[in-house]
Amino acid sequence: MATEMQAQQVAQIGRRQRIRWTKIAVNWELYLLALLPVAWIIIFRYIPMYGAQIAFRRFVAGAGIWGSQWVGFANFMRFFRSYNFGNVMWNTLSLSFYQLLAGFPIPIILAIFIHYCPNTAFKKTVQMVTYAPHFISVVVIVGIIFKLLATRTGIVNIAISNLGFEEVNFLGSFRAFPHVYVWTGIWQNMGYGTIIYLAALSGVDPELHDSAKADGAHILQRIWHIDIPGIAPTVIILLILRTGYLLEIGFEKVLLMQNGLNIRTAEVINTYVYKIGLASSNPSFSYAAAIGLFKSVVSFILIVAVNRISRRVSETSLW
Amino acid sequence: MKKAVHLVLALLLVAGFAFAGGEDEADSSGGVTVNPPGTYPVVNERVTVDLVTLYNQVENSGLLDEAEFTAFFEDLTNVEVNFVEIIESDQMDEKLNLILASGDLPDFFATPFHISAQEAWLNAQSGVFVPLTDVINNNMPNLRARLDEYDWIDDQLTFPDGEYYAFPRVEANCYHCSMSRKYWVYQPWLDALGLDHPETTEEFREMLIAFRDGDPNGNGMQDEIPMVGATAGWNGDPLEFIMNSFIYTDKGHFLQRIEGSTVEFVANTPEWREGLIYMNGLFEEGLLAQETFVQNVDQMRALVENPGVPIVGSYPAGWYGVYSVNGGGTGRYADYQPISPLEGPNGERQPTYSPFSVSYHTVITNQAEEWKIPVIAQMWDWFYEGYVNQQLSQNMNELGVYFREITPEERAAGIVARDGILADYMPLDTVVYGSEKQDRGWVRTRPGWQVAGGRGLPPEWADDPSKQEWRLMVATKQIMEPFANEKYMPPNLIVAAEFQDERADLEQIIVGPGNTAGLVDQYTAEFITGARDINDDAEWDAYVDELRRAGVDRWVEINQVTLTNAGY
Repeated sequence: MATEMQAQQVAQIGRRQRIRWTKIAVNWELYLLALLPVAWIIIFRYIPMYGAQIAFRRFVAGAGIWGSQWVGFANFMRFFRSYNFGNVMWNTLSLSFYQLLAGFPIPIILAIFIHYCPNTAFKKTVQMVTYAPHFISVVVIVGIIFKLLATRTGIVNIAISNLGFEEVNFLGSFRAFPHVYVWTGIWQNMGYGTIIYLAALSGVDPELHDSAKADGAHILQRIWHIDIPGIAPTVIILLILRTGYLLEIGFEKVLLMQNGLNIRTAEVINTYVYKIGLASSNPSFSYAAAIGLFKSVVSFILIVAVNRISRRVSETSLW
Repeated sequence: MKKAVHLVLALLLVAGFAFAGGEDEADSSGGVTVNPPGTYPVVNERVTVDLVTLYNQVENSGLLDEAEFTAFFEDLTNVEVNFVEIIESDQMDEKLNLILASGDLPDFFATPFHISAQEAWLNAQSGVFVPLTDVINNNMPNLRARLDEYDWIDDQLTFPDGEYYAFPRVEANCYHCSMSRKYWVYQPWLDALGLDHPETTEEFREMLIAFRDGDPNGNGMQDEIPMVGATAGWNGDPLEFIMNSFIYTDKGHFLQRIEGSTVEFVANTPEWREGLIYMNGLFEEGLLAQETFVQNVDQMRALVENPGVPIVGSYPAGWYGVYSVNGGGTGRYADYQPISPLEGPNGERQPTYSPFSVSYHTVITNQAEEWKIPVIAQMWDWFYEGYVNQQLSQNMNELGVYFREITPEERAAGIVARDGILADYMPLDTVVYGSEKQDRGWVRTRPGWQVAGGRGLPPEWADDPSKQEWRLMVATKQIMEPFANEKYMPPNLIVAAEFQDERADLEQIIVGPGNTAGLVDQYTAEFITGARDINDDAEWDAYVDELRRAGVDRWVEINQVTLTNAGY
C-alpha cells in the first residue's frame, strides 16, 4: 500500500516535471533570450560579490583574498572616524539631492511640451538637439564646460564682461561648483530622459482626451488631470530607481572638474574612494572596498524605504 | 533540481582538482641552462619573459614591439621580451596598483619613478617582489661593481632587511631636476621696460606692475597677463617659488628639516601667513591671473603661445617647454628666461631642493619561475656596462653616428655635461626633446647608471635656445644652487608598518598627494584669491584650528619618527 502511494507520488512528480519541461521546450526562444542577461548578472554582478569580503580584511596582494587577515569592521570604523567623513558625506548627499530635485522634473516638462507640439518638423528637431549631448563622452563634455566658462577666454565670461559686469570664476569657486555640475548635467541628459515619458504619454487613453475636450477642458486642464495621472506610475518607478543611485554621483565628471578652489564641495564618496584606493602611493583596497560596501548598503536601505513609502502613499511600487 | 545541484558541485570539484594539478606542474628549473654571467647570449635555447613597462608620450610612441632595439636585444641575449602591457606614464601609478592587486602578474616590471621605497618595501614584505641580492652578487658583475664603487647608492638600494629588491636606474646627473621649481620671465618685455631680473619679492612685484601697466607688447591694449600658472604640468604652480621667499616650501609634505633632524610643519606659521598676504596682494592687484588655480596644460599653452602678440609675462615651470613649444611654435620658448629665487622681506631665499633618489626601476615578481630570475638579471646587467650600451638602448644611438668619445682636447677645455661636471662623450646628432619622438629604443624601459657627467654639452649649444639641457644647467648652477640649503626631507624614507594607514589618511587630508588638493592647497587657494580674508585674524585662526583638528601634529610626529628611524 505504502509503496503504491509512493509510486503514485513519484509518477505525479514526474508528470509535473514533464509538463514544466514541455512548457520550457515550447518557449525555448524566450529562455535563450534570457540566458545571456542572466549569465551576465551572475558573472559580473554575483560572482564578484565574493570579493567584497576584502572590506572586512586587511587585503595584501601577495596573500590573496582568502589569505589576508580578517579585521572585522576596522575599515568601516576608519572611514566613520576619518576627518573627511562628514564633509564627503554631506557633499555627496547635497549634490545628489540637488541633482534629483532640479533634474528630475525637467525631462517630464520637456516631454509634455514635445508631446503637444503640433509642428512635426520642429518637434523632431528639438528632440534631436536635446538628445545629442547625451552621447558625448564625459571628458569631452568637461572640456566644453571649461572652454565655455573659462575666465578671459570663455564665451560666457566674454559676454558678461562686455555687458559691463565683472567676470565670474565659475570653475574656481566652491559655491559655484554644485550649480555648474548640476545644470550642465541637466543640459546633457534632459533630452534623453524624455524618451520614456514620451512613451508613457502616448500610452494615455485618447478617449479620455476626447471626452475632456467635449466637456470643454482646456489644454492645461487636460495635462493636469489626464496626462500627469496617466504617467504618474512611470514617474514614481523612475523616482524610486533614482534614489538607489543617490550616492553614485557621477565619478568621472566630478573628478575632472575638481581643483583646489572647489574641492571643498567637490569631494564626493566616489572620488575619495578612487584617491584612497587606486591613485594613492599606499593603496588601501580594503579601505576603498569598505567605503564602497557602505555606500551600497545605504543605497539599498534608501531604495527599500522609498519603495515602502511609495506603496503606502500611491500604491505604485517596484515589488 | 537536486540532481542539477549535485552535477554542478561535482563539476566544480573536478575543475578545482584540475586547477590544483596545473599549479603543481610548474617546474622550477624549466630545463633552461643559463650561460655564465657576463657572456651573451644569456641562454642557448630561446626563452620568453613577460614584462610590464611604460612610456612617456612626450618622448616616445610606446610601440616597443617594433623598436629596433628590441630586435637587437633579443638577438644579443636570445631572450624574447613579451610586452604584456606598455602603459602611458600618467596612468602608471594607478595601473601598477591594479595589476599588483589583481595577482595576475608579469615576470617583471620596468618603470622609473613609479615604485617608491615604501611601495617596494610593502610588496617585498608580502612576498610579491622577490629578493634580488643573490643574483646581483652572483649574476650581475657590472651592477655589483658599480654598487661597490658608490656606497651612498648602495645604501639607498638596500632595504631594512638587508636585501635588494630592485635593479636601479640612477640618473644622478639630472642636476636641474634637483631644483626644479623654476620661474620664467619674458625677456623682451624686461628689455622694453628697461628692467633687470628681480632679486627680491618687492622688485618682483614692481616688475609685474610694469608688465601690467607699461603695455610691453606694444599693442595699445592692456591685455598683458603679468603672472600665470596652471594646476597641471611639471611645477606649473607658483606657490613653491613664491613661498620660498618666506619659508621653505615643498608641496609634497609642507615640512622642513631644522638642523638636519627636526621636522617642522610650515603651512601654519606666521611666515606662511605673510607669504599668503603677499600672494593675495599680487592677486588683488590683477598681477596673478585667476586661471592659475583652475586651468590645465592645454589652456595654459594657449595663453603662452597666443597667436599674434605675446600676452604672458611670466610663469612657473620645471622647464620653459612645459607651456611653450621647444624649438617651434611662436618661438617664444627662446625668450622666456629663468630668474633666481627671490629674497623675501625677512631675508628668506631658497629653492625647493629634491635630492637625488635611486629609482627602484626593475622588480621581479613571485610569478616568475625560478629560472627566469638569473636570466632577467643577466640580460639587465648588460645595461650597467657603460654609457655606450645605455645610448644604444635609449634610441639605437650608435657610437660614431649619434655620439663619439670625448677628445683629450675637449677634456682639457673642460666640456661639461648637464650637471656641470666633466662629460664622458659628445653628441653628434640629437633629437629636439619634446618635438621629435625617440621610437627606436627603450627610453624608459631600460635601466641605467649615470652618476655624474655623461653626454657633453657642446659649446655651440650656448647659442641654441632649443637646447634645454644647456639652459637648465646654467640656470641651476648660476642662479638656483647658490641659494640651496639643507631644509629638504631626505628621499626614499620608509614608514613603519603601524603608521602606514594613518599616514596615508593624513597625507590625503592635509597634503593631498599628487594633483589632488588637500586642506592646505584648498585654504591656500582661497586665501590667495580672497575667497577667505587672509588679513582677518579669525579666518586665519579658523584655518590653523582646522589643521589641528585634521591631525597636523600627528602628521609631524609620524614624519619625525620616520626620519629619526632612518638615522637622521
